[in-house]
Amino acid sequence: MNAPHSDWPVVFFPEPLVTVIVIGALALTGIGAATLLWLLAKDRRNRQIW
Amino acid sequence: MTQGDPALSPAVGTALLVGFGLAWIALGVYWGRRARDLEGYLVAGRRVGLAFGTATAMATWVTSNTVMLAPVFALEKGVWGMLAYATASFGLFLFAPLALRIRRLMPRGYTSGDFVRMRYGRTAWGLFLLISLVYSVAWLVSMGIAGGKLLETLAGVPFAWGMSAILFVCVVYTLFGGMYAVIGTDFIQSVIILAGVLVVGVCVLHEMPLPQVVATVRQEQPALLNVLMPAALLSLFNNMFFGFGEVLHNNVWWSRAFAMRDDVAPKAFLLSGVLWFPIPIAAGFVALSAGPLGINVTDPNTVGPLVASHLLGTAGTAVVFIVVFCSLASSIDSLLAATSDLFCEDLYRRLLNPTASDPQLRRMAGRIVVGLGIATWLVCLNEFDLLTVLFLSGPLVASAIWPVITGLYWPRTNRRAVVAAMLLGSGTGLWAYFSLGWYTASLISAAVSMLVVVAGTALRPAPPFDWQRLNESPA
Repeated sequence: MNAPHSDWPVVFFPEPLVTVIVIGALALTGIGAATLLWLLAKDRRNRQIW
Repeated sequence: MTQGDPALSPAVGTALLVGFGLAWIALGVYWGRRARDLEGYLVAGRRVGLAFGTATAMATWVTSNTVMLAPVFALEKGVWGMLAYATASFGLFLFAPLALRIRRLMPRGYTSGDFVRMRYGRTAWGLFLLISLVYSVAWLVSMGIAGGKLLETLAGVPFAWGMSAILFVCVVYTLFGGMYAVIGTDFIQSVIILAGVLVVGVCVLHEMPLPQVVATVRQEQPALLNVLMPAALLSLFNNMFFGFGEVLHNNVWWSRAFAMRDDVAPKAFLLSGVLWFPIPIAAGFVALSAGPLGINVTDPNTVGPLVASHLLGTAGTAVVFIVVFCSLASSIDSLLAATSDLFCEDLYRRLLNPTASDPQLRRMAGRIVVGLGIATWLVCLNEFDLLTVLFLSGPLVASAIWPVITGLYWPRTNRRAVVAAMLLGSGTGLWAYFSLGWYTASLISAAVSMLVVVAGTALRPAPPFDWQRLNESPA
């Protein structure tokens, strides 16, 4: 009664998928920071910051 | 660093706090020189470009909860937990087309309350304001509490002092610079947050290769890697709808839409969602690696700083400290500015003093920022659980999703159905929160609200709404 889902199937995330998720997230984080700086330079060149 | 043993000395923590605090205040005052009139103070002159627009949307959405609670999600719900938290970025994606629509329908608008009042009338407006203010104050309070706890955990600074210092800094630069100060500082804070998360994540990967993390977690906590974990799957959808509700209704986002150039607004929100999406995953991964690294986590809220200090010592803790401080400041300043707009525009101008001049409103907005800061400080002195404060407001904001979307696009949305949708959605969502579990509350609230709005409008469509009524530009 107190053990719900005891027969619930267990399917593991495959390791390559976890790798893609984590490495992809870290790469996107770095690209994000670079993108912001690039956009600032572009807005500044076009006098469109504000 | 062990739990209960601060990794930074109080002197270092205080120095970081004072250094960054003074920098934000100086920058806020510098940028705030532009905020000469009401429009400059409330919506930064409505000419914000893509770089600042993207950064402010992203930084506001990166709260201390993103950095400190996303790891909790990962610790409790594994890979799905990380992804569930990341789905909050979908709110920014969904808001992108709405931002364009909002800018075009309301070129002189100031708040989300303005929209609901003109679109649905006073009853819906009152209910919407209540939901919005409860949520905003709950968010503000949770940020203040998180800030105090952060300083106490990382540097041994007493909770009341740390919380007071963070609130003081944000109130001062928001007071002097208004939306210009908020958006300008948000840019720098965004870059620091992204760089800091990347540094800690890469260090963890360097110390503990991913295959090793996966193998250890699979052996010791297999449920965290289970694709079919029911509560985690529910939390994924729940978090997504919570995010939709938060972004769609809250004036934090509407005020940014009003502040950006209309061609910039949709691009900025879309891009900010892309930039925000990986942050909870990266932070969650840091938490998942705690077990394989041999770190005993007894307080999940501090797992990020624990892992960072374990790998990088004092420098790592300082990085986490700075990232979380930036996350806190970028959200607190935005909430102070946007919530004071709601008080100033929706309550003071529309209810109390309809003939107020722009200079009067400008002064009042500043006073409200200070008052809101003091009220938040008083509430923060009584500590609440972070998760409870955050999620209890979830069903309330989720009930506003459909009223906002249908109000922007359907000319015949039934006003009474909108009021009923917010009431019934909030009520059933709160019931679900306490009876079924927090991870169902927003989902149920959004579903009930949708049914009521759609059925009410189908059965009794209102006369077609004249969209021109939302445009308050002088003729």
